[in-house]
Order: sequence, then structure tokens, then C-alpha cells
Amino acid sequence: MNVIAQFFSVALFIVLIENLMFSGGYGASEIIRTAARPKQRVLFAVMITYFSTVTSLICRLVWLIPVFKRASTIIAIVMFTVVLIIVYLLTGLILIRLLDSAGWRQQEKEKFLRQSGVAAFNTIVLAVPLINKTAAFTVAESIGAGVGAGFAFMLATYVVHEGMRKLEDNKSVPDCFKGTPALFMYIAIVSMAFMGFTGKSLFS
Amino acid sequence: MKRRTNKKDEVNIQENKKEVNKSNVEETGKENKERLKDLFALEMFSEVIVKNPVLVSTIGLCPVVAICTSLKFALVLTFITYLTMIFSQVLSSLIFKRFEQWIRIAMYSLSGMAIIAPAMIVMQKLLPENMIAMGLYLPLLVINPLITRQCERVAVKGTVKQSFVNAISCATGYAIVLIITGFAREILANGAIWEYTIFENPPLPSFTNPFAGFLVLGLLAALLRVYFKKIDPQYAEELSVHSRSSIEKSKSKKQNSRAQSLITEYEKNRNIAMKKEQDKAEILTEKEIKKQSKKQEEIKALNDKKEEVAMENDIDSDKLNNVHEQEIEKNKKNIKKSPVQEFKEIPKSDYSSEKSGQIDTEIINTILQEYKTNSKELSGKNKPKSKPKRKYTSKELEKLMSMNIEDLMDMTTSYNGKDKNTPKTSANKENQEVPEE
Repeated sequence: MNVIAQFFSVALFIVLIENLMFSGGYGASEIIRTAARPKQRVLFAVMITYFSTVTSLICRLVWLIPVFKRASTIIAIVMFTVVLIIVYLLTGLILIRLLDSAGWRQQEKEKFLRQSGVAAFNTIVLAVPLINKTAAFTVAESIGAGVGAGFAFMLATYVVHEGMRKLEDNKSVPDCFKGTPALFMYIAIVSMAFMGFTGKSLFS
Repeated sequence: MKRRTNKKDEVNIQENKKEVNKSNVEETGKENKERLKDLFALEMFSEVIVKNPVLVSTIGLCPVVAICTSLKFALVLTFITYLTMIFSQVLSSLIFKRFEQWIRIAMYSLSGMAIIAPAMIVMQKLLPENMIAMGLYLPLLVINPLITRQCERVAVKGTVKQSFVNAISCATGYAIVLIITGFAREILANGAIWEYTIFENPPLPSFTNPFAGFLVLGLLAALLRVYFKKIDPQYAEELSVHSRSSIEKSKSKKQNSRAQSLITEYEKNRNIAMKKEQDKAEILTEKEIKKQSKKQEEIKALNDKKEEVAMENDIDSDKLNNVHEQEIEKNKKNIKKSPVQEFKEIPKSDYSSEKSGQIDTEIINTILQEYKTNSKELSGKNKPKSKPKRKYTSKELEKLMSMNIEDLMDMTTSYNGKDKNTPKTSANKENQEVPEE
């Protein structure tokens, strides 16, 4: 029960209270790009959840080794990056075999692999093991952080997409703010609201 | 003497050639330098303003929003981005392009790590306070989507020079945004710039949070949009790249362009087909016209011949027609009526009163002989010759009228010469001189 509670508490914390996008600014560019393409939203969220969970779990397990436990943050970041690259390459190789057996075309296969690469090498994915290290999360908590990162990404893309839709329909937006400027403003206001969950205030 | 002069001339020519070559090389070098300058200026303009990575393409937002809270941090970030961009782009144009795309994406993060790990070590020694303040975000620069994008767009496809120029220009565009946001956020959050206090009480201390970064970026993007609208209106649409409607518009534009291209192709093909058909029709019409002209010529030639013939005989065509009509009438007259026809033409009142069976054989024989002679003449010649008709007396006619119909029919068959075995009539039985036909 304790493990499950740890898992869910960390996952909810990363999704709602410390939303990686709105409160931390992680993966902002990727979230905006994915929000503009709503069809890819779920696929990206699944990929990010997978890569963040697997890398955070492996990094947490590696971190249990005493040599790495004493290492500095620079060595830690190198290790995390190497783990992420290995996980990505292994996943790519498995995907190639699976897609070949499924009879996918070369172009479709390349496109899927490219998308998986964009999802894997993202600040959200690399931020999760770093947060795990700084917050000294347990294994269950680090898995919860990985899953929560994926859901946080999903929530952020949904909110940004809805904002885009509303801003496009809103005719009272000034001409010089139409498009990207209005979107930045919208994200700023939403992130301001999420900042309220953390207990921070604007004027103090 | 001549040989010496020739040698001197050759030496002079060679020297002149060398000088010309040198001047050409210098000129080409100058031209190349000017071209490079122009290219660099164009690249800088496009990457800094038109395709600004942060304000237009919305790439690499995390460092700007999360780390860039002061001018110092902004400068540190610019230095790191310059290094990582140049290093990774040059490497990708030299080595990484040999690998597949999905492997290259992993390599970009490796190249980024190769720069950031030493940079972090240097910073830890030189600026330990800043290193702590940057916290988690500095190591995250290992993965920068801006590097991935620029390497895939330019470095993999272009040469080392191109990728180098692109890296510098792109990093400059990124650095300008970093510096402006760092400057604005430091003033508003701390009330100071680089340890120089401007406001004693900082107006917005919460501007160190990510939302402030988005706010500043929104204002900068709006300023860029105003610049585009007023100075370069052709790039105004660039800022609405990531909005839903703009994506739909771009999709519709692409579709329209595809449709237009298809329409143009269709029109081209149709025009070609139409031209071919027209050519065919023209060829056909030419053939028809030739045929018609030939016919007309033939008709003209025939008419001319007729006229010539008419002129030769001194006979008009009217006269010829009249002659022809007269001949036809004559022929009609010459054709003898058959006895049946003659019999039919006789009025009934003439023979109805006569008694049947009272036949004068002598008269009949004479009539038959006359028919025989006439038939022989007709069989010998197609055209009936005009001969004086024998006029019957009223008595002879009366006798004929008194004959039986059967006998008369036998007479007509014998006259036509079809029935050779003529049945023996009562008249024939009595008169055996009548030959069988």
C-alpha cells in the first residue's frame, strides 16, 4: 500500500502541483508543437511516458551503485544522458524489428522512429531522473514521476491546444498579438495559475 | 637575334599571364568574399528576425523561460549555445550525416554533452554561485531541440561552411532573445542589472518564475509582428505558424497549391490534346477541301468539255435537249401496242353487239402474218423502226372483235414469242398454214 501511495502521490504532484510545463517550463517548445498537431498528442504522451519511466527507473537503479552514489552532478548528468541514449537505441532496434514484421513501409517506419527520437530527447524526459536524484525519490516514486511526466505532458498539450482554439475564435485579440504572441501570453497566464498551487505569490 | 627576341617575348607573355592570373585570382577572391558577406548577411537576417528560433519557430523555450532570469545567466547561456551549435553542426556536416536519421538524433545529444560537461566543470570553478542557481536547468542544455532542428535542416544537407554560418546566425538569433529576456526579468525581479541597482524595491519579484519568461516572449513576439507588419509585411504570417488556423491555412494552402498544380497539369494536357485534335481536324478539313476542290475541278473540266463539244458542233444545249425529246417521242410512237392493249382500247359497244364464233379465217391469217413480220423485225433490232402501220378496215376489225378471248390470248403469246408450243385453236385447226412459234 505504501508503495502504491508513493507512486500516486508523486505522479499527482508532477501532473498538477509541480506541472513540469507550466511550473517548471520543461519541454515547452515540444508541448506547443504537439498542441498544434492534436493527432500526435496521445502518441507523443505515450512515448514520453515510456522513455521518462524507463530512464528514471534505470537511473535510479544505477544510482544505487555506491560508485555513482558519490559522484557529482556533472557525472550524474553524463550518466543519465548515456542511459537515455542506450534506452533510445535499444527501443529503436526493437521498433525496427517489430515494424518490419508488421509490414510497415520504409517512410512510415522512418517517420515513427523520428517521432520517437523527438519524444525521447526532450527536456521533460531528462528532467525526471534529475528530479528523482535531487528529491531522493524511491523506486516507486521515480516510476510515479516518470508516469506523471507523461500525464503532465498530455494535460499541458490539451490545455495549450484548447487555448489555441479559443484564441483563434476570439476576434477581440489585437492584431499585433494574433498568433504566437497571444499563445505565449495565454501560457504565461496558465503557468501563473499553476504557480498558485505551489504557494508562491506574485508580489512577494 | 630573332631567337633571343622570341625568348624575351615568351618570357614577357608568361609574366603577363601570371600577372593576369594573379589579378583574376584576387578579383575572384574579392568576389567570393563579397558573396560570402552577402550570404552571411542574408543568413543572419533570416535566422535572427525572419526565422527566429524562439519567437517564430518556438524552439528552445525551456532555457529561455526557466534559466534566463538575469543578464549573467543569459550571457552564460549564449556562450554555451554558440559552442554547442557550432560544434554539433560542424560535426553533423562532417560525420553524423553518414548515419541514419534516428541514430543521428541520439548523436546530437552526445555532441551537446561533450560541450556542456566541460562547461559545467569550468563554471563550477569560476562561478560556483551561478552554477548552484542554475540548478537542474544547466545540465538540461545537453538536450536542446534547437540543435536537432538546425542540424537536420542545414548541417546534414549542406557543407561545413554553410553549417558554420548557419550555426552562428541561429545562435545569434537565440542569444538576442536570451539577452533581452534576461535583461527585462532582472530589472523587474531584482530591480538591478549586473549589481547596479535601478529600483530600490523590485517591482515584480516573482518574475524569476517561468510565467514571466512566457510574458516577455509574448511581448517580444508582438513587437516582431509589428515590425513585420510595418517594415516587412511579407513575413507577417511567419509568426502565426503554430496557431490552429494557421496550420489549417497552411494545409489548405498546400492543398490549394497541389490542386493548382494538378489543374495546371490538367490544363496543359488538355491544351495539348486540344491542339492535337485541332491539328487532326485541320488535316481532315484540308483533305476534305482538297477532295471538294478536286470534285469541283472535275465538274468544271466536264462542263468545259461539254462546252467545247457544243462549240465544235455549233449546237446549243437547248437545241440538243429539244432534239433528244423529239427522239424520245418518236420512239414512243414507234412502239407498237400489243393486241391486248389494242383490244382494251376498243370501245366495248363496238363488239358487244357482234355474234361470237363467226370468224373470217382469211382476215385473221393476214393479221397474224403482219404480226410475225413485226416480231421478227423487233427481235432483230432493239429499237423499233418506224414503219407505216397497216390500217384495218372496219370489217376486219369487226371480225377480230367477234373472235373468242382465248384465241386472242393465243395470238398475243405467239406474238411475244414466249409460248413455242402454241395451243391449237379452232382457227388453227381449220387453217394449218400458221407456223408454230
